[in-house]
Amino acid sequence: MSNSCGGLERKTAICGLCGKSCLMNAYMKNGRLIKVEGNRSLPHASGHLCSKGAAYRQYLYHPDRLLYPMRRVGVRGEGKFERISWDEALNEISQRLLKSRCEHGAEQTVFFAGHPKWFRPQLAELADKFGTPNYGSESSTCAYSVRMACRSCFGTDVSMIRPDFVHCRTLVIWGVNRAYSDSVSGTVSFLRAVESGKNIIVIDPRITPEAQRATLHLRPFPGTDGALAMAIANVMISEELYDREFVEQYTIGFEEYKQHVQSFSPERAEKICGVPAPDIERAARMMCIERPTSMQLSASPVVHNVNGFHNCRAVLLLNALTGCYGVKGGVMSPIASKATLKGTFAGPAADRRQAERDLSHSLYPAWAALLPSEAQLSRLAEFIGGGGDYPVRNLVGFGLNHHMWPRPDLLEKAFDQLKLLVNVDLFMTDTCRYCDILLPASVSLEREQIEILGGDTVYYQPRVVDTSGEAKSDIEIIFSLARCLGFGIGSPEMSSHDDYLRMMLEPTGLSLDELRAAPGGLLKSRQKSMEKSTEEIRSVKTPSGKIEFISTTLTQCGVSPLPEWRDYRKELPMEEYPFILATGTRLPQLFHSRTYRMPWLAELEKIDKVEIHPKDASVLGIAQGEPVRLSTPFGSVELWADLRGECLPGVVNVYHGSESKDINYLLDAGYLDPVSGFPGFKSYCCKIERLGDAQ
Amino acid sequence: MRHIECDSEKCVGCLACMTACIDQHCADPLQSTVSARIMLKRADGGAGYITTSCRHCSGAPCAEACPTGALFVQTDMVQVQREKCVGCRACERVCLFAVPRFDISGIIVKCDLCTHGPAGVFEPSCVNICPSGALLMV
Ligand code: SF4
Ligand code: SF4
Ligand code: SF4
Repeated sequence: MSNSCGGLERKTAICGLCGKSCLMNAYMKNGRLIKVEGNRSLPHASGHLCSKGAAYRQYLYHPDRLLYPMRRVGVRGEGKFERISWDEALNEISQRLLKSRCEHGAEQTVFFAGHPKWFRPQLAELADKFGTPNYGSESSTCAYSVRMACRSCFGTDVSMIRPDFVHCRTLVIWGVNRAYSDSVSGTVSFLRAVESGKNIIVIDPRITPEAQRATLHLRPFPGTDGALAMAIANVMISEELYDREFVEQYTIGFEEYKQHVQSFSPERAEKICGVPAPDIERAARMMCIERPTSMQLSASPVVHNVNGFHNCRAVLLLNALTGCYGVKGGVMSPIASKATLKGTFAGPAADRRQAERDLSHSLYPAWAALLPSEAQLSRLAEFIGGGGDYPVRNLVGFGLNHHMWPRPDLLEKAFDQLKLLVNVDLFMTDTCRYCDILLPASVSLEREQIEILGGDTVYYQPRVVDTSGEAKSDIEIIFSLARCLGFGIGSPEMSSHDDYLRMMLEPTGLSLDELRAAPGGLLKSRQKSMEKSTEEIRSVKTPSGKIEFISTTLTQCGVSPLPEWRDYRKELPMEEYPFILATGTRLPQLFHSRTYRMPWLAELEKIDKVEIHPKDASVLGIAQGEPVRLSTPFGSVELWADLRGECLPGVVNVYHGSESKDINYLLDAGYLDPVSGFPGFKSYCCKIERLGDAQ
Repeated sequence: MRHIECDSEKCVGCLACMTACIDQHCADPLQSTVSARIMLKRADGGAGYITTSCRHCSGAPCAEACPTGALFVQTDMVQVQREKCVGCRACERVCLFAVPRFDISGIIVKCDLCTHGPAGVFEPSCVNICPSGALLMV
């Protein structure tokens, strides 16, 4: 929608800077964006943006934006490029990929999706049609371990569904700081739930804004969530609080699980997790008595541990004990949905042909069984460096950023082994400097977008600003590359962004033309309401057809079918490196690596910092703002000490993704969860010294 | 006089008000600048958030101290005219609330209740963006 007043034009738009879909007003003058604010006119708009969305103008017009396709002319990493045309770029990439496929086989080409995620189904199709099973994404270190755990218990991805803020009586927020990392509507829904007097249990080592509003805040040490969850289960079972009828009717393996959690008394868990036993009991009682209980589990913190997969299973299984699965106010609440879009990231992902030939297949059998749609690529550096079953010659990335892995230096070295490295990106990132060919992608306001608002309204956003330089939407790049490789994407084949939008709209029964012509770009979907009944939701798609305390798939994969407990602190050199290092703890102004380059955000405070509890700092003689050295067995970095009462004593927090002071250089590339392949980002070890004292 | 109050019970420390203020006031999207809002962290390192900005004091000492008239009292607010500022920081020395801030060229940045900006006059951008309802114009 757009309207003008005083030479200003106001358009409505979807922010999308972080991949979420907050609605904004974009104020335009002579075709340039001059201000943004939260939108209040569109259906279900929250009216607000976050700090990152508010800086959209700096993101859009940033001098680091890639504007033209480019070819490397300097050495890798140097950052010297020459401008080439789109035809030249796509021809060169496709010729080299086809030649490589002919001589060495398709699987030696890896396709990778970083951020954002919306075009992933089509990129997966591109990889599949090219003939390689080696398609993977940043989900190799985020969210997919949770997805695996969900599928092993419930046969579906429970964590993708928002908790039922409105109908629950108790809301469990496990490791999520939504005010800093979720869409603004997520924050607002949470704050409303607080206002309406729900019981809120927050499980988080830190005092987050959520935790400050909680009825009960449990602060386990990072990586101990599994022990905590099993102790909560222990109380639910021993005090007979759990939903016996539900467990009998809809689950398998309960007796074994009951045996299994018997050793996790609240007192034992208190020793492991640092959470007082009475609080564990209170949590168990509240979750079972004050029902329905809904749960929000974050995509990363629980699973960023070497035992993360099992810990996550233990957390998820609490939802089988409360019996709130598939009921209003519980998890997988049967909320009527009248509109869905086709071919989006949120939809089902297609399985790959020849998945069993991918590079990670034999390393992570449970991943392979539970996530047939992509390869586990957290060991990408190893694979490129020659450590896989066969070499990797080509890597084609969309938003590839090597700073996301532990030890980015290993990838910097490995990149030299590649014959072809391509990246499609918004900015000249550090990774781009290593590439042979760069392709410029457009940002959200430079492309037409479609979203579902409030469950039944379809919203079409025309292009808000002209595209910068020759940037193209990622989807158009995928379609053109496929064409050059000799095939098409979609059926019927899609060749333009318009085709893509038409495909998305199919389930809604709306045509792109009528939507474009509709006032404000808004139309009700013609889809029939698809409310699933509780019974339908509860007939789960696990191999047994029941919710599995004992997982059939895990048994088949040689993985412990019950959640195991393993204490990483016994395996790390904690005597020399006594602090738990949790990386990636959210700061509201940062979104992974993306906003470091934006001074409006990066200069709000100096962000090369380590957050430490004032008590820990005082023992070390460290004052607020003082420079310190943080060291791990892999090296050290100078940061400034931010003394924060939010930190759990004994745990320090550092944000990730900085190109200049990347904490990932100090992690151990082999410190991975053996089941999921996920790095232990939230629970490594380090020591802190005053800079004056450090040697 | 009119000013923006922050309820620390409600503030979630999301910093949205800080950037919204910059977006309202900074004409050049490529420029580094500062926000007229200030995020205060508790000195004892305790958890909790509060943001502040100009109190728009009646009988504003900053306006009296300002030698160039860049700061002046206007009906119910203390207005700022950045073009007149010479960066002497006289205002900074007299403000009891440590409000005046200076951008990279040393020119004052201070809350003007969003009465200036490349897009014109707006409802205070910080109040508008705040997801927690912590900010109110009083
Ligand atoms: S959370 Fe922030 S960056 Fe993400 S879409 Fe919303 S306003 Fe934009
Ligand atoms: S700048 Fe300081 S002294 Fe001047 S009106 Fe604002 S709060 Fe008062
Ligand atoms: S926008 Fe509101 S909640 Fe966020 S920091 Fe500012 S005052 Fe606090």
